[in-house]
Amino acid sequence: MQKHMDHCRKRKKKKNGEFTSVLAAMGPLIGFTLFGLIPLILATVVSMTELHSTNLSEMEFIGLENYKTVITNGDNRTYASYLSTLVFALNVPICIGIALYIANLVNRTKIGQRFLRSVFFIPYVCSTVVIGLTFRILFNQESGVFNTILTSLGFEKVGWLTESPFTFMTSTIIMTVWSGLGFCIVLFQAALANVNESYYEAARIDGASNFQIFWKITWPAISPTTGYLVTMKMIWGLQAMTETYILSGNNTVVPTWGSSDAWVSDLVVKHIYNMVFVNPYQYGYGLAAAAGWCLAIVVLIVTFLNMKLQERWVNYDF
Amino acid sequence: MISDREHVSAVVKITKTTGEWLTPILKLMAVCSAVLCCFRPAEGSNSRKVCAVILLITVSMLLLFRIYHKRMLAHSREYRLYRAAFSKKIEPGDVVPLLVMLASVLIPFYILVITSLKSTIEANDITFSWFPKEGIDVSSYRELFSYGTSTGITMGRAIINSFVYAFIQVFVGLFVSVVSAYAFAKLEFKGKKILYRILIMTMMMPGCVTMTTAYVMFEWYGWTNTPLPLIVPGCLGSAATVMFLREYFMGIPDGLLEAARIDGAGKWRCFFSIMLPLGKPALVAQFILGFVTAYNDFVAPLIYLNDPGKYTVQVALNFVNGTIPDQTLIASAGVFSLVPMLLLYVIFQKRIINGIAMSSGLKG
Repeated sequence: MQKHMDHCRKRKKKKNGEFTSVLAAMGPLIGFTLFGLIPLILATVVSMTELHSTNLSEMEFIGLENYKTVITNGDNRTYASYLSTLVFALNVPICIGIALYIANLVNRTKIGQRFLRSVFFIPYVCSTVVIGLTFRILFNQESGVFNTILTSLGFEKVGWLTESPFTFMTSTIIMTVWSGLGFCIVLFQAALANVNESYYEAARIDGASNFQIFWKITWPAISPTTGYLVTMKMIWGLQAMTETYILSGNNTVVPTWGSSDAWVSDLVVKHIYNMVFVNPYQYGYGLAAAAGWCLAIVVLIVTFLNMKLQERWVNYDF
Repeated sequence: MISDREHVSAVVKITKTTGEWLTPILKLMAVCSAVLCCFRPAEGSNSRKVCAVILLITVSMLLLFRIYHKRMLAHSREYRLYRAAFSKKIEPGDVVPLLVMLASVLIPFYILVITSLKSTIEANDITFSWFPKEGIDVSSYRELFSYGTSTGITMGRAIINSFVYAFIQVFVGLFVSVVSAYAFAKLEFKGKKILYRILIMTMMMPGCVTMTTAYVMFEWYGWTNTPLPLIVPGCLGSAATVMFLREYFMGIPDGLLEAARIDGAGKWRCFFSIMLPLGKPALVAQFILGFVTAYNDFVAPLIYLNDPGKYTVQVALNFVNGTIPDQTLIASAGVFSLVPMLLLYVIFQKRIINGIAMSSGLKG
């Protein structure tokens, strides 16, 4: 009798248990369905319509017209925003290069390694907004520290954030590199610490130069980290908007690309943001959704190319 | 008489030390003057020519050093051995770049702080000073709080908002994620592999597509201009966290759970008394990282919140940055918003850094 009851309880428990297990596992998936999948489907539908408010009953079906507008630069701003984003993405290789150099130095140093690493990592916990307004103070044309140094050395003042697209993008890249270095340094250091010390010793005894040691041992050994960083930072970089938005001080005085009226500070995502939250009557939700899909496809292509190229230079069996 | 061998070692030592100390300084000078050459010289100033000359001199000296080293020393066996055995605590050549890097990381913070401590007149003056000459003036911090009365933005209120939104979202979200990770790592149920694969796929969702239509959706729910769109999606966990925690839980041996089960513990008992305590380091790291990310988030609060009383710190800062021309006030608002994160960083520094290194799947 006892045995039978045990058996029954066990069976009941098992069935019941499976249900709770599935439920437990489903949490993030439910979240995705509610707050990810619905907007995704909505975006696909809306991108083929014209819609200027959040009221979905005002949708007018216009087919692929929105995509055509985006691809042919029908709003005169899309190409400029892609140009800005491309220039902005230059921060990725610069950041990774400097981080690799510094991480190498920190790793070689036997004293104060943890201190150096923690100092370099500070910008990671600061928000882009604070960093942006700090650099706005540094780049200030009249009282900024950069211009103060320049004038004291006998150079002319530079309007970092107002003069030309080149100076604006340079300032943005300086800021983004500065704020992104900590993260890269920490990852590179973790990777460098895992490289077997005996390779270095052998190379040094054979009289290899520092450059040779780096190129033949360090670089291949840490290439998985480099590959990861390049991929991730490209994905982030293409979808960034905060950096230029803050640095331009809500688009107060910003240089434009050439003779067009497209602001340099409008990266692609900022442009999409403008379409909906700044000028909904000029652009509207339909165009924004179409532009979003186009950017998503660009990101996908870039990521795919990255992966393909990395098959050549990333070395997983070190 | 100096033997040949001794002679070489003296040369080696001298060239080694001078070279080591001089090269990095020369390199730094070369880089600086090269950068400076790109700027326009002021009227009547020959600073660009001076920079070019310095650049030329430094580069030629560096080249000479290089050639000298190669010719004189590279083939000397003694020099190689000297180098191989050379393991100082810090190489002199590394000191210069590390110091430059340290300074360039710390100087922006220093300038932010001193700007916030300058008097309003001095901070907005056209000359920059490295130190508040008119004495330390904290009136901007006082003004920061009174500023709220006219526009409805108070930094104190904004910080509390940020903390509340971030804490709820990260705490609940982490719990959901950890339960899910436990189920995927240690429990058996039908369709586990497929569900996990779908979960991984959700990470590829493009944020730029859903940014605008999510707003339409939340408007439809009636959630815009409330903190709910910021909190609720985060509360349902995130795929990246699940993936990371699952990897972590897979590393915990099944035997522990078996033993507990034989002793009569159910699967939730196992979860609470075995998995949670064992997973504590990973959980704490994820919690802090999630908290920092949520606190620093800017775009979502910017989209969903219109009411100054509900602003998070980042949006309030952006508002201050865009509307007030006074640099002291902007700087002090920045410092004020930075302090909680810096405190958190100082306390949990090791966990944050290890968490970053771990969550990229490269270590541990």
